[in-house]
Amino acid sequence: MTEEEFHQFLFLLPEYRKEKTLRYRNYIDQLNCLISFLLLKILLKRKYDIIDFTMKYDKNGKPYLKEYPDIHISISHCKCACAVVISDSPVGIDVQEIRKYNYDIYQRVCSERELQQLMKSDNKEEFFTKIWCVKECMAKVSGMGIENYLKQECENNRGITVVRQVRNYRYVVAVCDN
Amino acid sequence: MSDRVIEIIREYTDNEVKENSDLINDLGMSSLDVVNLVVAFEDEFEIEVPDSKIKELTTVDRIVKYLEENV
Repeated sequence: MTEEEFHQFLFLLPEYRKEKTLRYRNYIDQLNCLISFLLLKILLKRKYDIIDFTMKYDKNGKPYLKEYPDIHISISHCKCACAVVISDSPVGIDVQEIRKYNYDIYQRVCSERELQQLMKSDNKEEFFTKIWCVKECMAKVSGMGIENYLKQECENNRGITVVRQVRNYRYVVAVCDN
Repeated sequence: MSDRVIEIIREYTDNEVKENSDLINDLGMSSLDVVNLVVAFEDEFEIEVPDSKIKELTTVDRIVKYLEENV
């Protein structure tokens, strides 16, 4: 995106979202803040024919639509990708770049069984990222923090994960519902 | 303590780190970055942070306060 395009798209945002976007000093964070909102706008128009809405965050940091409490939304972004999901029922989405983490992090996040499976895996970075993304999705759906899912067994069938690549980045996207 | 905490946090974000900065909303960190950060503080200050405390550590000053009380 060129700088001119960035400002053109910024112009499409409501004032509160524009301010939040510009508060980030890092350009990628600004881009994620901008693009995630625009993606949400597109999805809401397509599925529900909604044009005007106010996105807010509850006390747990979970986003919701002030005027449409029955429409559930979830947003995620990482360095290389942005993901948004909307649904009639509680839903969570997470996108995370696949990269190396040290064993301390694996131990902190995974249950004993997950850790055993992880250490047997041929691609530990990808395996761990999938585990993390599913836990994060479940945390987003429940509205409870990720700390409730650390070192806890999370059933594999609670989330769908896909692996994608853009340029040099590989990332996992996970979606989970109730 | 505050200076060292800010120095460590700066390794995880390019955004401006202030004492009242919110890790996710101001510094653009993800939840996994936050968990990484907690593990980094545990290594640096040789403490253990219970999982239940992680959700309270949302801003730089809360982290500094927690470390000052527990280190």
